[in-house]
Amino acid sequence: MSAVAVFSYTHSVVYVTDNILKSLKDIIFLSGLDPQKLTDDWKVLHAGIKRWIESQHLETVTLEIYDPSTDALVFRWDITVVYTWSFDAGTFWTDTDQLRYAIKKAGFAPSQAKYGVKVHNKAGYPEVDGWTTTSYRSTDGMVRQSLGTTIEHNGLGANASYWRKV
Amino acid sequence: MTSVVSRVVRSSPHRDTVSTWETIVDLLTRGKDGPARKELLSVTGVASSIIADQAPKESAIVVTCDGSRTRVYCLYDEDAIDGADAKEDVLGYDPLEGDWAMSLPCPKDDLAWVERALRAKSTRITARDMVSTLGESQSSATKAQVFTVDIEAFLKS
Repeated sequence: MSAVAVFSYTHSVVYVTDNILKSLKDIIFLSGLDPQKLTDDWKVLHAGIKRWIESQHLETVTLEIYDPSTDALVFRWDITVVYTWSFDAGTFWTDTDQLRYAIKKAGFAPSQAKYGVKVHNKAGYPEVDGWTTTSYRSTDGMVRQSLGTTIEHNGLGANASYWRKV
Repeated sequence: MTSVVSRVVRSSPHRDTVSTWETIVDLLTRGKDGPARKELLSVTGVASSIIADQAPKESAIVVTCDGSRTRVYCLYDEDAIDGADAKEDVLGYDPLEGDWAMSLPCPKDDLAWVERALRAKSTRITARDMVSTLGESQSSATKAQVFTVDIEAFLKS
């Protein structure tokens, strides 16, 4: 007798949230930076991202890597959530290799660089403790490169892209 | 001779990485508050990152103390949903008795920063390369906005 696991939307939310956080950790580490600050904030980041994917308000999770002496962006990574969940889609995967290749291509961040995580939500989002409003750093003089889908669970997925200086 | 007891906890996507770690902490502290629970919860972020990397799938989180040794593994994907191989029942002894220590399995590439992050929070919790065996048999807002984490405010809440 064989058994097939049945995934609910909640399972997909958990899978995508966990792998967005894992992707952020990989990007930070492979860019030559220390992921410790990310892990210090992990619980709050996870709670917000999960809640807002659940409510379908989350549009984009952004990692800004910046030079603290000028506050200017060095790199910016966007992970955009795609809500095409279907009960019978039956697939889940995370493309770590594609991410690794792109990070290698983008190059190392300078050792003094700092980073922060921001999200963009649709109007009407539920509040989550530990988050505050902010704005993005300027992307003037940068170009955006898309990697396509890097995380997918039954149609709930995430597309990655990064910004680099021209 | 020290006895060894194993537990297998259902992780992602049955539980998220943070809930998985909190379940492991509940299991090891048997739900009791105290310094051990506080120390284990202080490394939630690092432990969650390791769980997201699926390191405890094949390589155990190992807890040693003055009594029995405890190994904790995690189940992922269909195995986590199915749960047939899970073993989450309450431990019949104190796995943190006396001078306890914990070793977290970690991908080799991440070991240096993980060790550094753990050292900043705990003297008892360390990490090891996951392929090493450690002596084991194998109010609703109204408009769209950009926002970020405000840890200071969170800690005050």
